[in-house]
Amino acid sequence: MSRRPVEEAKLHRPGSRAKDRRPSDRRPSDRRKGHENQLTLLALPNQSPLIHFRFIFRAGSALDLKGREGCAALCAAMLVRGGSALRSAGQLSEALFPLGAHITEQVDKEMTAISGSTHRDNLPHFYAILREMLLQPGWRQDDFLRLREELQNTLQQALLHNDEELARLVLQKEIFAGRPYAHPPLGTLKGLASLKLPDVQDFYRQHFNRAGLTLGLTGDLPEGFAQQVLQDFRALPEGRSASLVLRPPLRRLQNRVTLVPRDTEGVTISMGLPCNVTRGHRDFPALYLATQAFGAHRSSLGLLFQKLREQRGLTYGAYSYLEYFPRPMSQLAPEPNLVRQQQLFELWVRPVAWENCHFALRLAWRELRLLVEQGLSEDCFYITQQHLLGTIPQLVATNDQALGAAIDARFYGLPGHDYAEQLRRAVASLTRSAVNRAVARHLRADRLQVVLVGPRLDELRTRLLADAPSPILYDSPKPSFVLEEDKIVAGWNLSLEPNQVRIESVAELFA
Amino acid sequence: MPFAFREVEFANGLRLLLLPTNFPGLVSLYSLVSVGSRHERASTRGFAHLFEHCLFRGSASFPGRTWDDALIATGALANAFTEDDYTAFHSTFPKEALPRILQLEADRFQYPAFTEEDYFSELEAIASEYRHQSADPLRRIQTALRKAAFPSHPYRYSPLSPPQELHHLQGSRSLANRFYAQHYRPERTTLFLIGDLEGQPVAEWVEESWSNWRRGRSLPEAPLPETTPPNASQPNATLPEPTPSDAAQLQPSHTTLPSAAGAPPWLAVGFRAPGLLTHGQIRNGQSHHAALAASWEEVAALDLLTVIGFGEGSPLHQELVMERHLADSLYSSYERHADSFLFTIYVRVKREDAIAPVEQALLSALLQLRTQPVTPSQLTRSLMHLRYRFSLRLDSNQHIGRTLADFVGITGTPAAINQLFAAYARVTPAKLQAVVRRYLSPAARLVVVLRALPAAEPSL
Repeated sequence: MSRRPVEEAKLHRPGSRAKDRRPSDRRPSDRRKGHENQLTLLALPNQSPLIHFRFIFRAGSALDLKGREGCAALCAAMLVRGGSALRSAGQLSEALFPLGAHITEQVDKEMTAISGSTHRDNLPHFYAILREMLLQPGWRQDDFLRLREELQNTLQQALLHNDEELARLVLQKEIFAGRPYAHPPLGTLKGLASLKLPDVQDFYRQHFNRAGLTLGLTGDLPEGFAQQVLQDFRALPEGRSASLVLRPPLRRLQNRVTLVPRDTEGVTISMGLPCNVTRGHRDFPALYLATQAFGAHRSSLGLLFQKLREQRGLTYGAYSYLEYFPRPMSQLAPEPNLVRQQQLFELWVRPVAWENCHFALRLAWRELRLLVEQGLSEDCFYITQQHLLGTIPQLVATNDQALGAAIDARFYGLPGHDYAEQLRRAVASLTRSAVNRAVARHLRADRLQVVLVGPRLDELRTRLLADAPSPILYDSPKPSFVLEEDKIVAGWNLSLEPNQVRIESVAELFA
Repeated sequence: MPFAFREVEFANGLRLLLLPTNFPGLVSLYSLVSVGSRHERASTRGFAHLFEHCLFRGSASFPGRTWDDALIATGALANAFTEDDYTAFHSTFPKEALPRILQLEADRFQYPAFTEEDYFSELEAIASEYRHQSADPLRRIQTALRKAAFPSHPYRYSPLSPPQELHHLQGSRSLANRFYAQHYRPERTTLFLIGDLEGQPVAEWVEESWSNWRRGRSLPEAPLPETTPPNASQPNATLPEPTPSDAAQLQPSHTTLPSAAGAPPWLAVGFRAPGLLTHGQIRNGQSHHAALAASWEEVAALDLLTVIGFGEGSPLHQELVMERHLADSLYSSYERHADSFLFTIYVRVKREDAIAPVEQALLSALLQLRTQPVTPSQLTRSLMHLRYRFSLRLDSNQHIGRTLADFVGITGTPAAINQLFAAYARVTPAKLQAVVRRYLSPAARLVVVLRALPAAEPSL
């Protein structure tokens, strides 16, 4: 489907200067200053009858006030599912129903994305609903109570019924302790309970304004439609620059292990360390390649997958990430518009039988150590590079994904709108030594935060502190090279001290 | 459907479906095999899913990792899933890689070469796959519903069996080989290609690398029990209410599953509903199945009912979610299956004390649908909803493949989707009422509640 030229307009604040930005590894907070003072329209017209909207507000959960965690999430829910000043939530839902369309909110640390798709037959109806939701919120107390309770339930369900998500939430919480990224984007139970309607209205007034708003559109847009959208959203107050300057995560000097007891059938492992190589950083393509080679999401490409699953059948999967990927259990690729200034390098080992979890932890950790110390082999580098040249275009297989990626590229300070093509070219020109240098520069296998969620963790703690041997138990024969490596792994010392291994309950962690 | 497809059937029974789209540069392949947990028996439980895993572990010309490495080097993103009725292997790749992909696919299907070690590693990986899904509330509810609905039909078991039920696979390689030889055959396989196919001699490539694959011996399968949902033997349209004697035979079931204190409860109400198999083209080797009395109109009416009766646009949603604040979400599903499966209504209830009023409201809504026809406007709006919702899913080759996989995997042809949409237009308020009476009888409801405490109040 051919894409017509990009239409773009910026609404400048009086007195502001909007300079073209160059890709660089400048500090993210520096980059933001060029972007936040302008209302931006990013239209990618094409001939598709499916029209996608992505409206991005710089209003994420990192802006939640202390004790009011969940405000960003509840504000977005109120806009999208809380009715407008003109129509109740039920009436809006009824109006949207025959269009077969959905409008959804995605709240992350630094942005709220309101997105939706419609067939062009229904564009006027759809857009009228979307505009009404965002520009004329309903703010009814009844809807507020309904949605607050819904978010509390959603958070409870994530904490109590999804160990893998829980492990990843704990990892973020521990690494960003004391920082605005620490709590889940949904908030905390206490924070949600303390929120009142005026808190959410204040949040809207303060952060849902023209400053930093990006209006993304793609599809067969009628003549003048994009300009009309831009004009309509000028109705929002200009707003002040919502500059979010983040302090780096607390510097840890040793490994830390957090054990979260749960009565489940296996042990989930998440581990990671802060890593600020975001898409605008010059080492991003190299580290992206390394992360894929090490643990591509749900793919047999990754070394972790090969070692833990293919060779040993220890787990369904083991993966690594350079960018936050919410709800990876059910998706093959992350949603766009999760731009963060600070990222984690993250390892995720899906549930392992308790008997083998000590071994699995040692194996994954040791593989990370080998990656950092030795880098990728020539074969591994080459096949990963070949693979990525084919898969990177799939990051933008849908027009909606292309729009999302183009919006994110702007936030990361990249020029142009074809992020995938830029990344593909950068990956094509990488060398193995460049990748391994980037790995050595940014990754490490010490000062890690490790989280384990599962049963019998008191017992595991004792074993961890004793560095007890953890021979793996197989139900079937394994090749000799695997058994030889197992002997090394089973006795590999983690050298953890008692103060480094803590047991924490879910209730304490997300009170 | 806004795309036309072409079909080629080869001498060995293998079918090729080509669906060209205007998404440039990429192609998706869905290799669909008519084998799922429905084809398993007690001695072969878990095989369909296990073979799905094993088929990534090498072939005769590409042994061990070399198969996977060759696939990875093409730039393909590949995965697979096993359903009750079929297994799908899918990949999306640059169009230039198509000949290579077809070659790799042909080799693993005809000459799989996984080792004993691979077999057992995958068996252990499946145990982990089960572990990570076992805490999921919806997975637990569905497991309980299957148990209640299917005393002996293989739908009683999901394709993902708990590890303790897979011990029999440990020492049964010969049984595994027989299962494989029976089901992985050309006449049970469809290659479904979607994407930038212009100017590519795909049929020739397939002929070249797949024509040596021999048809299987047509082993008769034992007929399956319970393929007919309650009431399905009765004529359609103007069904009487179930008589007392019918009701006596159709006992409602009520299952309570324990949940963590503090987590929101779930209520699910399921009903047996007709399958698709007799509606579409019957695939080779499957014609022995008992025919259902349902028609495409009934399938279409049940689809419409998921949104009219129990979806976001329904009066019940308005009542439970918006007005009474008893539930966070309400939705229903009528999954595509070959044989009679389930129509299920799911409610995430806000609080423990709301479970009983939610179930009561749900039964009242059912009664209303039985006794009062929906308005023509409700029907028109729901039809629009289904059409546009479907069109919005067709935004990439991969998504088109996934959206149509159920239809192709079960009926053998994407044309089934056109038959279904034609049937939507023929559904009337009276027909909708008829399917409610026929399939959604309160007397036959299967209730599953997930809650922190055992049910204190009696089931309604």
